[in-house]
Amino acid sequence: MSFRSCLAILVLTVAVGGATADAPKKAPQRVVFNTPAGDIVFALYPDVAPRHVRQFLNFVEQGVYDSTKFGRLEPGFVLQLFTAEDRRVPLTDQQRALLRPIKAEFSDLPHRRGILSMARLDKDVNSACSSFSILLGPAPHLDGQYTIFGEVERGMDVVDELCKVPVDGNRPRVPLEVRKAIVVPTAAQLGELSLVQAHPVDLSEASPSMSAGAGSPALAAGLALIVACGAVSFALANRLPPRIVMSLVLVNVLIGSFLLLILLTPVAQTSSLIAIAVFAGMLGTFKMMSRFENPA
Amino acid sequence: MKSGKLAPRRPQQAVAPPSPPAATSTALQTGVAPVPSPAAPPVAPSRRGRQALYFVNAPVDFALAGGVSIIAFLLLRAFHTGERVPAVYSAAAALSWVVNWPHFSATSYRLYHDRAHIWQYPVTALVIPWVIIAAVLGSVLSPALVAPYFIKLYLTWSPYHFSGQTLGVTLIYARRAGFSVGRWERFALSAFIFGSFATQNARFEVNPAGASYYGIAYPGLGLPEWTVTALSTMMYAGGVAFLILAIRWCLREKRWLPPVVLLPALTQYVWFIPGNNWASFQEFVPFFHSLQYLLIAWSVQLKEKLDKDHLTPGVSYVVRESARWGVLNFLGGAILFFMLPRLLAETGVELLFASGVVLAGVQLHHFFVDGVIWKLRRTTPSSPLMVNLSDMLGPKPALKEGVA
Repeated sequence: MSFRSCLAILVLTVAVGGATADAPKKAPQRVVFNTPAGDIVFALYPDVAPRHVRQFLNFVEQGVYDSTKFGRLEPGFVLQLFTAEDRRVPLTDQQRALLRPIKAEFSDLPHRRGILSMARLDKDVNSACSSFSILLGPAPHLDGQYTIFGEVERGMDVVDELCKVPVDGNRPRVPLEVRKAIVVPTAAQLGELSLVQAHPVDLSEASPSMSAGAGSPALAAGLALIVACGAVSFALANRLPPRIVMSLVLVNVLIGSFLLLILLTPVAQTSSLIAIAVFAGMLGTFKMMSRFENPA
Repeated sequence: MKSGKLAPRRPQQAVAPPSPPAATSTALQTGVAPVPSPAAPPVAPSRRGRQALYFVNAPVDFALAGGVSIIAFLLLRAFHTGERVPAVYSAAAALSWVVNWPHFSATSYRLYHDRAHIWQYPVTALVIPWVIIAAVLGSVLSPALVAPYFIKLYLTWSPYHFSGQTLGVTLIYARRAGFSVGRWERFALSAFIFGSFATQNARFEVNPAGASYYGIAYPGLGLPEWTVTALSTMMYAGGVAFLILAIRWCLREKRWLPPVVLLPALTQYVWFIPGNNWASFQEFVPFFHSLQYLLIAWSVQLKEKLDKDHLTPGVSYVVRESARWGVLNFLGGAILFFMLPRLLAETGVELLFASGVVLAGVQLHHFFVDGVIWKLRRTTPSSPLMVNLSDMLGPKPALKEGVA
């Protein structure tokens, strides 16, 4: 073997060995996020960011991430999950009590595609809590500035599907919710789960808030109020001053507008025209309400 | 990454319940141009013989009608971070107890303390509370569907309500200053004031991700960006048109328009446009709005009580009645904003959630009540909205009396 070959082997060995030594050790647990585009599996780095990993696992176990939203999407850069305080279903007191800022655990790991990086306030490095980003590409300018605590082990194709939804600036035009987040005790147990493979986001189902089943009792109650108010106005029309009858009618308008707001907002989020109509409708309703019990 | 963990938040919602109080446009506006009922006694001339420009005096009126807001904004911009840090929301929460909450209570007190008032506006006084209770219950029973929209309704209506008050206060000062607000002046002024509200709201609605209030996330509509530009253009056009009309008036009358007439609109502009993205300032906007309201509500209370009970004006009357009214409204505010949420939480609802929906309910109720309380049957011989503190402080030395 020539000297040159020996040198090449030596360099290769050091390089491979070094790379292996740099690869952070993964925690035994895996975290699965069920999203509108499929399941994403996270592996965590307990040796790199022990506090963050502990807190993250605790949040998942306590259901803190359920119904949180991916609210920032910058293709090639990040897909960011917003803070748990902004999730759709209100946090319980116990969950809220868990939300505490955590000290930064910066490392020399590079921000590359698939990395999980904790979000924080610009001026406070120790303000990270529940919001984090999935890196969509290399971002060396973030290195050493934000805590890296894990990576997407499986499901980058799911992330890519999430990134295909229409955006307004860097905001997804449909709420991309984490439907459910779970901790799987070991990587091996992932095989027991039937993970949902990547698929395009169904825009009409991206937000589960408006499923017919969830909405119908509320809508029925609202309609009942309208009917009751209308019936009273009708029954007493001859005995009440016009000003009061008009106000009862306005109560109907208010309740009806509220129901329309509930029904149309998810649609408005996918259609600018409907968004403008809903916005104008709200302003018109307020204007009408300023005539409430006002004969002028 | 740098935008960090916080989703954009709306201006007027804070930890301390935004307390939009005061008058909707029709409310104070109607007060500005009251239509005397046939039975009403003729309007007595002011003791000073001419209409006072201020409720108290220039420094106090300037401060409460908007000066404090503008100075606070400039100071925060110059010396403080824009972040909503604990010191900021703690201060705002403390101020809520003494200003924001009493201001809501003052409105309810004015409607409900007199049975005649209740029967003058029975739908507002007796029907609306039940509609709102139904909405609060709906929110509790359906926290993921009804609650977000209940909160959204409230948070959208709130700045509209602020705008109504701004317009009303401007018209009061205009009337006091002798500035005639005709059709075009009113149109231009409304375009500016309501334009700032609409611009601020549209800015929020561009983002479909929405924000959260007391842990209740509510969605945005996803308005296209150009709507913000269109609405702000309307706002500025209205502002310029009003200034042109005001200058024309000055030239015609050969006198300056008192700056206090322009102050409320300018103040609202600061609240909603340059101050919109300054979270530390936004925390205090409900407080500023409440201050504006309390100045007028307090003056009106003093005047009405004085005339209704045929009391003798004087410093002791002012102090006594102010203290009584202040304590009453402080307690009322505490009941509405502190105790009611805890009462609801007793039923098993999370306190934070209960606070969010109850606060929204109380404030929505306030928007209705505020729309009528300025139109209650007059119990005073002269319009209480035109009063000046000196009218309640008793006789002045003869020399000053002669000024009339």
